[in-house]
Amino acid sequence: MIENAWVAWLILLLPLAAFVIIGLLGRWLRDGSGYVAVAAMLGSLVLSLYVFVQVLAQGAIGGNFAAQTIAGYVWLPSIPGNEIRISLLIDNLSSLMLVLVSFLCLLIFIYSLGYMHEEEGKPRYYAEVSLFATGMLGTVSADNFLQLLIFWEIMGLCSYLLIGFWYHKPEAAAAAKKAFLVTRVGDVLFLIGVLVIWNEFGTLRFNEIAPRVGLLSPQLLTLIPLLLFGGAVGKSAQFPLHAWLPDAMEGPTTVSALIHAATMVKAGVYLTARSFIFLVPLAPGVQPPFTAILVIAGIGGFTAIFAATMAVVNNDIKRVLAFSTISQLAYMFLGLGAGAYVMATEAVNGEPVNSAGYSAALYHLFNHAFFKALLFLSAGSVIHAVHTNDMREMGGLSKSMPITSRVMLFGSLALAGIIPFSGFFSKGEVLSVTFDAGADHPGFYLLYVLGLFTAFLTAFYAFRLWFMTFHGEYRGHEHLHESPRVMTTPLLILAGFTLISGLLAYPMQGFGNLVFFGRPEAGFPLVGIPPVHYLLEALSLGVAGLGIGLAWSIYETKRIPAERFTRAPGGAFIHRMLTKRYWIDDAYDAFGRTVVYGLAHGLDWFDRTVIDGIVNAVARGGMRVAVESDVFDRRVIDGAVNALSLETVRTSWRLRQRQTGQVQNYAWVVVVGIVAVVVLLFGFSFLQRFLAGR
Amino acid sequence: MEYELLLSGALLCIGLYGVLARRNGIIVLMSIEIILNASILNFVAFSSYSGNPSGQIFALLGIAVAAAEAAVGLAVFLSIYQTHGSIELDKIRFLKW
Repeated sequence: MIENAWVAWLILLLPLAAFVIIGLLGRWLRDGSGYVAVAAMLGSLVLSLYVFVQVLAQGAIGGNFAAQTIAGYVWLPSIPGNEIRISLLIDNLSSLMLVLVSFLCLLIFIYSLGYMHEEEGKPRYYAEVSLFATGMLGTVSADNFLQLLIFWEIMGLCSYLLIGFWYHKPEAAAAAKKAFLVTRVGDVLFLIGVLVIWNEFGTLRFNEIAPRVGLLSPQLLTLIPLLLFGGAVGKSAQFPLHAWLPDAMEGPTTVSALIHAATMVKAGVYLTARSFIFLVPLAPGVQPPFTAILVIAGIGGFTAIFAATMAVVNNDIKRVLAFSTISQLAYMFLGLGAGAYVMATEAVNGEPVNSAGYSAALYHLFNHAFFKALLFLSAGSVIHAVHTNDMREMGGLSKSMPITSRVMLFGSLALAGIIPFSGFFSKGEVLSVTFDAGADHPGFYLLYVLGLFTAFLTAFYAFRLWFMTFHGEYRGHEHLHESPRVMTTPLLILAGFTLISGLLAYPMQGFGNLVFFGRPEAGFPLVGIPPVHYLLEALSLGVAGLGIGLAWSIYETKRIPAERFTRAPGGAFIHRMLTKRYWIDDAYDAFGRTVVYGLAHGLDWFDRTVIDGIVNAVARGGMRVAVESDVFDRRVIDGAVNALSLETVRTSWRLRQRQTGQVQNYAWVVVVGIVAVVVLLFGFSFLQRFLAGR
Repeated sequence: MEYELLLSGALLCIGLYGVLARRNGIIVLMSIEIILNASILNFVAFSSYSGNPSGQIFALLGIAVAAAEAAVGLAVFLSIYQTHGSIELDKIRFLKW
């Protein structure tokens, strides 16, 4: 049991409090808002370490720590035992991720104090990154899929807001929209997956689902991980939903480093790791969903080389790194897929499962978070000095920016996978596992070759970037200066981690001994492995060296002119295809223009002709009725009224004529009246007598 | 008895003619007096015929009232003459609407 487990809530709530405080009081805090965010993040880091140290002390290494749920409150009440709670899950993976995320957030927040110094809208920036930190910390500590989805979406929102931080730039606004919409495709799949899980199990908690996976039908067992993987594809920018990440580089570089390299895009890998309960059901007699595993590994292997080729031709320093991020994330998916395949095969055969691929992918996640954050922040430092993203206007910066130049060299070596930098260990393990999986399914040999070629391309573009930026002659026109201490210090810390984060596996007897699925495995990196693995490690080191050598001869010594590759028609075509990003963005745009706009046009036409027609016809009918009733009103009703009044006037006029005012006229009338009465009386009595007489 | 009634009827007709045909207001007033006397003659004639004296009393009352009425009528015509300068009845139209 973890002591003072409630402090884990503060890990999430401190950045949330920073968000609220900065959001409400940012106008008065101004520059102080950055310090509020840093202080909150420092608190989160300390508490995360406190939790992590307890987890370690209670035997996480070696698998003696039982996952622990820190019960929160009931969010959606239901029948007892079935309600949806907001709770935190503390196990090996989540406690490690909490430390990783809060540490990187802290370093990047500190760096932001320098990088964002001259920006307008700093309170907005710090409020949004604090909210983002809450989202990421919540994602990795969620106890159930729904809670994970909620924090996942908070991250998506913050990603949108921060990509569009310079919203007055049309490209940034468009990139923000693109990121939001493209990831939305994946998020919808994820949501469907969550609903299917709820429908099948009546619970969303990882720990309650895991023992009951065997009850699923094989179709659903394949469908659920694929739906969850759909969410991961969107969030981690894998093919075919990769298009948003390069454009997301329109945001501030700190945002790119934090959200689009170190943390948020890793959430997809984390989700796929959590969905191992479906991929590798440890209950006996359950057929694992091999199809879903192959899809995951295949998309990983393909995206790795696909993104790496595009990184080779790009001239935007941040976009090269963005493509590199996609490619490295794809390595993690490849590792997860290959690892799951190996484990699933072993589980079916009744052998003890070996979670090497699972831990290799998470190992790469861990290492990549450090070196890619370092690369992005160094790129930010460069951009801070030269005020452009275009590498063709850089060059020779190592003289004026020695610290940045050196730390970026560290990052590039880690990315390329050169021993003893961190990338070497984890990338080598991912490739080894993929090779091992080839024994179970020959397709993995193809994926291994793709991965190996990607390693070559990775080393090439990493050093192409480094040589173009820091070597040769300066091609721009800015006054160059090294970045302030507040920026270089986080860089130096991260550079240190590119060296030691790989070696951190040694004190825990292999990363797989800390983060594992099913069964812990003790085993030092590079120690006691099968001989073929030494060969594989040497091979990946060799291709990385080859890539660096090629970059050296093209961009440093210029012994091989770069034009040679684009002169031949075939080469020119490939170059064009790569710079156009395989026309996929264009195809998506065209899809949007033709299909979506076409649909919209069709609906518009329908609206204008049919709906408007009906409405107008009704209106015209109404008008006609009104006109008719007006005529009726005027002619008949008014006619009757007028005729009546006219007749009254006429009659009164005629009667008036009788009132002459001459007394003698009146006298005449009186006399005539009397005579008439007399005549009538006499006539009447005469008539009576006459009738009686008969 | 017949002679009295015939005289009364003749008087009535003469009075009516005067009232209806003559234009001078004074003449009309005089004609009304004649009609009134015709009715008074009827009262007296029927009173002597039936031996009931109340007819005689009614006749006296009628003469008194006729005198008063003549005085009022003359005063009205005098006033009209003073304001309009004429008592020709067909020119006096101010009783109109």
